Amino acid sequence: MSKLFRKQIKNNQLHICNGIQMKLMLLPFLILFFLFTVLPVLVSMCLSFFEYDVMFGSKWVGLKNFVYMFSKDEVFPVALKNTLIFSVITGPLGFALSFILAWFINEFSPKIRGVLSFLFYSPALMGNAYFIWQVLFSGDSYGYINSLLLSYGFISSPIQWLKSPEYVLPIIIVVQLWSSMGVSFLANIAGLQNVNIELYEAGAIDGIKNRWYELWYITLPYMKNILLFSAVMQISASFSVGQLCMTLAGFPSINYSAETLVTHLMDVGTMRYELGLACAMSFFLFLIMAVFRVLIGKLLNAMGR
Amino acid sequence: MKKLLSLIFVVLIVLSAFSGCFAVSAENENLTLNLADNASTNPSIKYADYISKVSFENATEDFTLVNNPENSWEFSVDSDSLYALKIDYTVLENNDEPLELSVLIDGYSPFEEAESIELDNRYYDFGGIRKDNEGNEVTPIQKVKTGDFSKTLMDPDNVKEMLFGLSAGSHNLKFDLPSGKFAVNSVSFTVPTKLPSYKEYYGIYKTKKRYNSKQIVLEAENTLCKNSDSLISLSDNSSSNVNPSSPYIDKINYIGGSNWNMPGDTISWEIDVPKDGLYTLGLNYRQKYKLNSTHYRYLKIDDVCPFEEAKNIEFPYARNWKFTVLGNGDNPYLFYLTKGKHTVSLGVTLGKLSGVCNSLENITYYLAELYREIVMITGDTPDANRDYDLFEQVNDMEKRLKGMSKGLTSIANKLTKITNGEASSNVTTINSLIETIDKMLEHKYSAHKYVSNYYNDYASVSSMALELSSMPLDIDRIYIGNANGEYEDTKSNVFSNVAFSVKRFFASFTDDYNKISNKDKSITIWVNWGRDQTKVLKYLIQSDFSVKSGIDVDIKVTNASLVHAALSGNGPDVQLHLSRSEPVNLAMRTALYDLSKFDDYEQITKRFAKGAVKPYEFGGGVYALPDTQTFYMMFIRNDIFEDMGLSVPKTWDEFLSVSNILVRNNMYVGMPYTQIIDMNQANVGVGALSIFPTLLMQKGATIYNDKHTKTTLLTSESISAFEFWTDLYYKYSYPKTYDFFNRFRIGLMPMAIQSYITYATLTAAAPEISDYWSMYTVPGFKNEDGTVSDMVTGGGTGCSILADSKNKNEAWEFLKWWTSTDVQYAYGSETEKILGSSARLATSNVEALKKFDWEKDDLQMILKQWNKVEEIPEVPGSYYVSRVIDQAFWNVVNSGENTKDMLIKWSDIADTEITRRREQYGIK
Repeated sequence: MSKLFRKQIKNNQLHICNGIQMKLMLLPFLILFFLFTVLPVLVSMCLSFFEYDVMFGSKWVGLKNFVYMFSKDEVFPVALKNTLIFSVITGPLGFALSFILAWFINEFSPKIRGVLSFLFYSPALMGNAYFIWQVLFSGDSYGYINSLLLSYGFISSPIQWLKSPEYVLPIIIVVQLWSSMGVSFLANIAGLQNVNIELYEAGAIDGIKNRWYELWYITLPYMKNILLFSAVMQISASFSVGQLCMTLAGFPSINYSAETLVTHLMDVGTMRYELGLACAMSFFLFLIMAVFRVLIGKLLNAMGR
Repeated sequence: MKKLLSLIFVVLIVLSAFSGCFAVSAENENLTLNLADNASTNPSIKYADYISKVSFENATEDFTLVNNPENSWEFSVDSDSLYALKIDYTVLENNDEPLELSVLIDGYSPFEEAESIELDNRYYDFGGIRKDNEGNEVTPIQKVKTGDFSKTLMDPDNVKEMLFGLSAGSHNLKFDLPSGKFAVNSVSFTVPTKLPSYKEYYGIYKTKKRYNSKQIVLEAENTLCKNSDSLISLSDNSSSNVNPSSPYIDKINYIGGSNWNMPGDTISWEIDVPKDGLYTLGLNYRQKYKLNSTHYRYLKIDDVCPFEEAKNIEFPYARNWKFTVLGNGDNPYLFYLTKGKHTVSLGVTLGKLSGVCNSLENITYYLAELYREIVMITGDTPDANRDYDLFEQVNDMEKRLKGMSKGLTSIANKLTKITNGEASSNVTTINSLIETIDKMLEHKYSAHKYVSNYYNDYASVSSMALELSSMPLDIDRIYIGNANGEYEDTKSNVFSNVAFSVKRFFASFTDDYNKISNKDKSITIWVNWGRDQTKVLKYLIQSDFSVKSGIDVDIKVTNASLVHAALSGNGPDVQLHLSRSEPVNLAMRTALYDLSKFDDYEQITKRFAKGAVKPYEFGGGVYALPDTQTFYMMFIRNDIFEDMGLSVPKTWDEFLSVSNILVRNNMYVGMPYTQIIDMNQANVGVGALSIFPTLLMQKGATIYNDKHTKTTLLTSESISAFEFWTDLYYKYSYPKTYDFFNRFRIGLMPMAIQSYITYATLTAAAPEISDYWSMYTVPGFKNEDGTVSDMVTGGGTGCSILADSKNKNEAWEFLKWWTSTDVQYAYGSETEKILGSSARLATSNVEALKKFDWEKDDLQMILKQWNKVEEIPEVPGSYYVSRVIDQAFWNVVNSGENTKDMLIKWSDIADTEITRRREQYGIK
C-alpha cells in the first residue's frame, strides 16, 4: 500500500516537473536570476584576469591582479585581516546571540513575544539607523559617551572614538552585532515555533532530564536547516560589511583601521576604476565565504551527536 | 603646625562671612543697571539709544533746504527740537545698486544708522510675466524707475519716523553720496507726524457715504513698484486657494516670500476706486514661515499712513492661504477713499516687536562679552570640582548677571504681552537663559558648572533674536470691498480643492520636465544642484543665451557618474561644477574635450584669476574652465583684538604668538581642515582641504615634481611645512572640528582661517557682530630678505565639454556665455534673491565678483588675497595624494608618530599610485 502510494507521488512529481508549464512558470525567474545574479558573478570571475578600466578596453593580464593584490597592495592585507577578525567575532557571536535571544523570547506568552521580537528585529527594519551610533560615539565633547565620561571626570578631553585606530574596529563590531541580528533572529524564532511539541513529550519519556538536554538533543537537530540558513546569513553579512564601516569610520578610515575587503574593493573599483583588480578581490572574498559555508555545514551536522 | 592650620581656617571663615556681607549689600544697591555702561567696545551709538537720550521737544515748524550741488547746507534753528527728515531726490540712471548716502550734521553722523541711509530705488516688473518652453510662468525682469521721488526717513525698524535732534543755533547739514547715481533735490526738516487713532480717524469720516456694491479684486503679483529687487512675484501651484492657480503649470500668483522680511521692504499696488466713500480692505495672505507668530506690516495709502493702528497691521500664523479683512478683531477698519487711482503699500515693520528685537540684539552682545570673560578664566569646559571664584575674578560679575537677568525678564514679559499671554517657544528660550543666569547667581561658588548651559542658551537666544526680526509674508490678492466687510468667493470650496489635487496628481505623470523644443542645434547640460539654482539657470538660458545664439539647451539635474554616462554614450555635452580633481581624472580616460583647441580660448581665460585653469591642465591640454574658485582668508574679531591689545598677524611667527595669547586665555584659533571621510571629499582637491598646501607653497616647495610623475613631499621644505602644520594640532592643540560660525560669533574663536565665502554667512546670520570683525590676508613665512611669502592655495569647480559631444562648438559657446561676467553676476544675484545672501556664488570671474554686494574694504582684501592664489596642478592619481596627506596627518596628530617617517611611508604609497595610473594610461 505504502509502496504504491509513494510511487504514485513520484509519478506525479515527475509529471509536474517534466511539464512544460512548470518550466514556463520558472522561466521568468530563471532568466532574471541568471542575468542579474549568475552572469555578474561569472563576468566578475573572468574580469579578475583582465586589466579593465571602464573607459578603455580590457587587457588580458593573467594572474597579475592576484599577484599585485597579495604582494604589492599595502592596504589589502590590512583589509583582509580586518575582515577576518570581524567575521570570526561577529559571525559566530551574532549567530549565537540571535539564537539564545530567540530561545529566551520563545518562552514568553505570544503577546509579549510579539512585542519583544518586534523590538529586537527593529534595528534591521530601520535600515541605516546605525547613524544613531555616530551621535553616541561622536568625537567632540557633545557626543553622548564623551559627554558622560567628561561630566563624571573619567576623561579630561573628548576621545575621538571613530578616529582612533584602537577603538574603531571594536565599535564597529558592536554596532554590527546590534544591527545584523534581525533576519537570523526572526528565522530562529520561526524555527523554534515549528518544533513539534510532541517530540518534547516523547523526549521526556525517553529520559531527557533538563532543558539543556532538550535543547541539544531535540530542538537543535530539529532546527538544523533553519540554523544553517541563519548561520549563512550571518556569516555572509559579516563578510560583506562595508557601508557600516564607511558611515561610522569614514571612507577611507583612519589608518585603514576599519578597511574591510568590501570597502577596499569599492575604493579600488569605484574610485580608481581598476575593475579587474576589484573583481579579483571580490572573487577572493567569494572563495573565503564558500569555504566558511562548508565549514559551517560540517559544524552544524555535529549537533545532537 | 596644627595651630597654624586652624588659624588659617578661622581667617578663612571670617573672610567668607565678610564677603557674604558684601554680597548682601551689593544686592541692596539700586539695580537700575544701564547695559550701555558696559559698552567699552561699542564704537558708536545706535539710533535706539540715541533717541532715548535726546530729550528735545518735537519741532513746531517745517523748513526746507533747496538744491545745492555740494549737498551741504547752513541753517539755524530757534529752539532745541526734534525733526523728521524728508529727502526729495532724482534717480538718474537705471542701475540696481543701492542709493546710499550718509547724513552728517555739524560734521558727524549723530548715530550709526545715519552713516548709511538708504533711499528707495523703485523697481517695477519690466515686460510682464515671462514663459518658458513648457508654458510655466517666470517672474518678470526687475528694472529701476528713474525720475523724482521723495522719502521720509524711517527708523531702522520701520516703526516711526527717524528723528534728528537739533539744538538752538546754527548748523551745517552735509550729505555724502556717490556721484552719478542719484541727486538730492531738496531736504525738508519736518514736524514729526502725529497720527490720529482709528477712533479719531473714523470720527472725521463717519458721515461719508459707505460703499456697498461689488468688491474690487487686485492680484497682488501685479505690483506698481517695490523698493527691493528681491521682492519678486512668485508661483505656488500646490493649492487652488491662490489665484490664479493651475494644476498643470507653474503660474505666477503671489508676491512676498521669504525675501519680504527686512524692515522697510515695501511693496506698492495701484487701486482704482469707483467712487468717493468708505471702504474696507481684504487680503488673501499666508504666513507659513513661523509657527504661532504674528508678522506686521506698515500700511500706507498714497504714501501716508491713515491712522495709528495701520502702522502695525497684524498677520497671524496661517499655514495655508487665508482671507482676512483688515480690522480690529471683528470690526473692520473703514478707509475713506476718493474716486480715482490710489497707491496702497505694505512695508515690513517690526511693529510691536521693535523694542524687544532691539533689546535682544543689544543684550546678546553683552552676553557674549561676559561669556568671553568667564571663559578666559575657566575655559569652555570648566573642571566641575575646581573653585574658580568667578564672582571675584570677573569684573562686576554679579551686577552684570543681575542686569541681564532683569533685562531678559522684561523682554520675556513684553513678548508674552504681545502674544496676548500665549506661551511661545521664544519666551521659553529666553526663560531658559534666565534660569541659567539665576542659577549662577544662586550658586556663586559653582557658577562655572553652568558655563556650557550659558553658551547653549546664548546660542539659541541669539539665533532667536535674528529670527524674531525677520517677518516674511505672502500676499495673493487685495480686495477693496463694501463698508460692511462682506466679501464673496474669497475661498475655493472643498470640492474644487479635491479636484485640484486629483488633477495635479495625474498631471505629474504626464509632465515632461526635460522637454526639448525641436531646434536643430541643442546641447544637454548636467548640473548637480538644487532645484532653485537650476530654475535660475534655466531662465537665464531661455531669456538670454538661447535668444542670442539660437542654441537650445536642455538642463538635467543629476548626480550620476559622468564616467558611466560617457561610457554608455548617454553623457551630456557639458557638465557644470565638476569637482576639482575630476576633469584631469576624466581627461586621462579621454572622456573630455581639450578646450585649448578652440581659437578664442586664450582670450576667454583672461576672465579668470591668473593660474585659475592650472588644475584642469593635463598633458598639454586644458579640460575645464573654472566656474567657481575659493581660497582662504583670515577672519578676525577686531573688538576682542583691541581689548587684548593684539595686532593682526602678518607672518606665521606673529600668528603663533597671537594664538598663544588667545589660547592662554582659553580661546581658540580656527584652522581649515576637512577630514577625508568620503570619496567626494578626496575630489575637492588638496588645496581646499587644509592649510598644509598653503604652508608648503609658502615655504617654496611643491607637491609634485615638474613632470608630475612623483610627489615631492620629502624635500626639507615640505617636511618643515608638514611639521609646522601638524604641530598646530599636536603641540598647540588647535581643534580639528569646530563650529566656526557660533564660536566666532560669541568670540570664543576670535581668529580663524576660513574660505572667503564664509563672509556671506557671517554677514547674513550674525548681525550683532557686523561691526566687529574683518577679513585679512592669510599670514606668510618671512623670507631671509625680509619679504613675506604669503600665497594661498585654492579650491573650486570647473565646467567641461565631453569628448563624445556632437555639438562641441555650441557647447563652447555655452561655456563662454556661462563664465562671462554678466551671466555669472546675474546667476549669482538671482540665486541670492531666492536663497538669501548667505548663498553667495564663489564665482571664478573676477569682474563678476566685484559686482556683488561687499563692503568696500572687504572687497579690496578679497582681491588682494585672490592675487596671491597659487593653484596646485592635478595629476593622474592626485585624489590619492589628498588621502595620503590626511592619513599621515592623523598618524602624527593622533598617534604621535614621527613626522618624517610618516611622510616617507605615505608619500611612497602615493607615488606608487601615480606610477600605476601613468602606466595604465600610457602617459610618458
